[in-house]
Amino acid sequence: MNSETLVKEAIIKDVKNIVSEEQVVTDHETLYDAASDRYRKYMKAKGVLDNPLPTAVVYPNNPEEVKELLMYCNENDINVIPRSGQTATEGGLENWKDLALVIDGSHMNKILKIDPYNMQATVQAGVPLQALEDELRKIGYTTGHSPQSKPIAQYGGLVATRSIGQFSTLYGGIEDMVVGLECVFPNGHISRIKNISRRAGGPDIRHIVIGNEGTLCYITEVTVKIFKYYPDNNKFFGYLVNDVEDGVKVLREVMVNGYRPSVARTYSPEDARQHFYHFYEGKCVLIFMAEGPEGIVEATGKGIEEAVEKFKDGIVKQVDSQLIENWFNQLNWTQQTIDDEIQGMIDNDKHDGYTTEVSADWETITKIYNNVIDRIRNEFPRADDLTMLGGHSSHSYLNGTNMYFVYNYAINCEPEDEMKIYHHPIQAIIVEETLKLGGSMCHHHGIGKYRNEWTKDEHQSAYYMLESLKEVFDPKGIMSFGNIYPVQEGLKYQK
Amino acid sequence: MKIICLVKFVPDTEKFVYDYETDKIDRDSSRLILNPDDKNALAFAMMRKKQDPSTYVEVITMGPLKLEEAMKDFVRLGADRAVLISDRHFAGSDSLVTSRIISSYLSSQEYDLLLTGTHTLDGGTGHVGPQIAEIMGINQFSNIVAIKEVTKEYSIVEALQEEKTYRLKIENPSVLSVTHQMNLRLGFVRYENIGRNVDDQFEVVTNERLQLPTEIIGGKGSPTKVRKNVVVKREQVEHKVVKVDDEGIDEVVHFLKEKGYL
Repeated sequence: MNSETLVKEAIIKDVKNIVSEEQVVTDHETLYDAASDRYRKYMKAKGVLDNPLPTAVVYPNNPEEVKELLMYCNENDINVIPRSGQTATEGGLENWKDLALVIDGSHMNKILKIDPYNMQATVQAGVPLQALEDELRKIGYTTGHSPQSKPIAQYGGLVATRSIGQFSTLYGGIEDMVVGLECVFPNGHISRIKNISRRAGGPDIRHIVIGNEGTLCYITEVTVKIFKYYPDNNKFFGYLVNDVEDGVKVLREVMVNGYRPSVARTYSPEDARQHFYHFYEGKCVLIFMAEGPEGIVEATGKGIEEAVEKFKDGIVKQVDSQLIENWFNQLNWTQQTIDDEIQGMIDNDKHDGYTTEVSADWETITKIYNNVIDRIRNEFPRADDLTMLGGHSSHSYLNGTNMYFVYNYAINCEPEDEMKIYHHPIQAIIVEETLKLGGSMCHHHGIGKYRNEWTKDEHQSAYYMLESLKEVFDPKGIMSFGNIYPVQEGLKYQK
Repeated sequence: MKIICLVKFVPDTEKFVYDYETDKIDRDSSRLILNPDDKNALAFAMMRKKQDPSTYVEVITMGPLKLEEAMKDFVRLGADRAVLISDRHFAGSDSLVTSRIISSYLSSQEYDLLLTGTHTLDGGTGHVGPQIAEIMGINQFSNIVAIKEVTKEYSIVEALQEEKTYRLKIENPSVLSVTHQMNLRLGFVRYENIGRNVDDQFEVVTNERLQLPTEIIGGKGSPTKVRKNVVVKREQVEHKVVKVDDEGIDEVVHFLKEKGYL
C-alpha cells in the first residue's frame, strides 16, 4: 500500500468517526461517478476521466454533521466538494485534488415549512425542486422555478449556482426567490440569514451565498418565495421570424413595455430544428407563454400581439399555439433522460451536445450572437464536424437578455481528447466574443472550473471583491478547489 | 513483417459538392474521408503493429497534394511511413491506370502483405486490388471480412462471396482486399500529437520518380471513361404530427412496422 492510500484510509476512518459508516461511500463506481459532472460527460461515459477520484462521498444528515466535516477538512487541508442534485454543467462538481470529500446534501431532504400566508417555503438543501413543486401544486401554489433539471436538481445546488428557470421572465431567477438561508463555513461557523421581505441592514449578505458555487460555504437550508398557480389561464403564442435579430426586437418590445410573460424565447433556425422540426420551416422561432390571473394573462397576450404587430415585417407567420403548448409539456429532463444519454454515449461515439449561456444588453446581444457564429464557422479548426450550431434567447429583462448557445458535432477524436479538441475551444470563442463586447460569459450555469480562466476578465476591477470574500471565508482554499477562482493546477485538465 | 496499406480518400457522401456543369464531383471543394473499406485495412495493420511492434506499416494513397496532412496523420497514429503518389499527369486515371501507377511504385518496394479495401464509396468498381495483384504477379482475394492469421508465408482469411463465407489460406506476399464488415476501429491522432512534425516519415512520389510515359497515364491513358453520373437528390418527405395518446402510438407502431423497423 502506498502512502497516498494510507492517507486516504486514515481520512475515511476519521470521517466514519464523525458520521456513521452507512453515510460514507467509497466504492469505485460511486467515486468515479463523483469525480466529474456534465462538462466532461463524454469522457466520463467512455470511462476515461483523467482527474483524481475523491476520497469518499459523505452524506451528512444535518447541519451539525456538515459543520464537523468542514472543520475536519479545513484542519487537514482536504478539498470539499458540496453536492446535491448532480446536475452541474461547468465542472463545478469535478475533483482536481488527490484528497477530497464530496459532501452530498441529499439526505437533508425535508420540507420544513410551507407558509402560504406569508408566501414562503423552507426546505433543507437536499430537497429536490420537483418535490417542493409537487407539494405546492396540491394547494394551488408553485415555486415558479423551473430549470430543465427540475425533476432532479436540489435546492443546495440551485442556490449555489444562482440557477434560473424557464419561467424566469415572470418569476425571476433563484436570487429573486431566496428569502433567507442557512449555511456552514469551513471554520465551522453556521450562519442563518433570517426570512424577511426586505431590509437595509448593510449589504445584502444573501448574495455572498447565492452563486458561491461551493467556494465559500455549504448551504444547508433555504427559504424561498412561493407563488399562486393559475395553470388554467396559460396562453401560448408562436411565430416564425426572419432572423434572431427580429425575434430579439419583439422580445425587447414586450419587456420594455412592462409585460412579463413567463416564457419569452427566440430560437435560431438550427436550434429551432431540434425542438420544432415539425413546423419551423427553416426559420427562427419566437414563442411566448403568458400565465397568472386572467386579467394579467389577457393583458400580457395583448402586449405580445402589439409587439409582434409593430415588428410584423420580420414575422413570417403565426403558428398554432397548441404546437407550442405540446412542446412545452415535454421540456424537462428526467433521470431517465440522463441515463439514456449516458448509455447512448457508452454505445456510440457521440453525445447530445453542449451549451454555453451568456448575457448582454439589448443592443449587444445579437452582435455577440453573430460574431460567435461567424467566428466558430470560420475559425474553429473542426467546424466541418459541427452538426448543429445555434442559440436561443430564453431569459429577458428590462435591460437585456441572455443567449444560450447550443452546439453538437461528430466526434472524430479519442474520447480523452473530446473536450480539448471540440467543447472547450468552442466555449472559448463564445466567452471571448461575449467579454469583448461587455457581456457576461455566464448567465446561469455558474463559472465552475471550465470558465475560471476568464473570471478576472468577467469581473475586472470588481474581482478584488470576489477574491477578498475567498480570503475571508475560505483562507485555506479547501472549498471546491478550482471553482470560480483560476488555479494553476487545473490547467492540465483545461488545456 | 512489412505491411503496405493502399488507401483511398473519397468524397463524404453526407457533404459533397457536385459540379453540374462538368457532371463531376468537385473533389477540390468536397470534404474527403478515408474510404471505409480501406480504413479497416489500415486498422488491421495498426492492430497488428500494436501486437507486434516490429511490424513495419507503410500507407500509400494516390491523390491530390491536399491529402498530405491526412497522410501524415497516419504516421501520427502509428504508421511507420506514408507515401502520397501525386502528379497532375495522374489526374483522370481510371482503375486500370491507377493500378499501373501504384504498381510502378510498389515494384521498387519490399513487403510481405498488401492490404486494401474491396470497394470505394465513389467508384465502387472493386478493380484496383485485383489489378495490382495481376500486375505484381501475386495472389489476391476480395470481400474479406476477417483475417484470422498472417505470417510471412501465408494468410488465413474469411471472405464473403454470394452469401457464402469462404475460409482460405493464401500464399504471401498477397493482396488482401477487406471490407468495412471487419468493423475494426482505426482510432484518432491524440491531442498531443496533432501537428507533430513527421516530415521524415512522409514522401510525395511524382511521375518524375516513376517515369511513366504520359500516354499511358491520366485520362489520356485510361481505356475506360465515365459517361454519366446520376446524383440522387434528397426529397422533403411529408411529415405528420400525432398526439401522445393511444391513437398516436398505434399510428407510430404501424409506421415502424411498415418501414421494417419492427
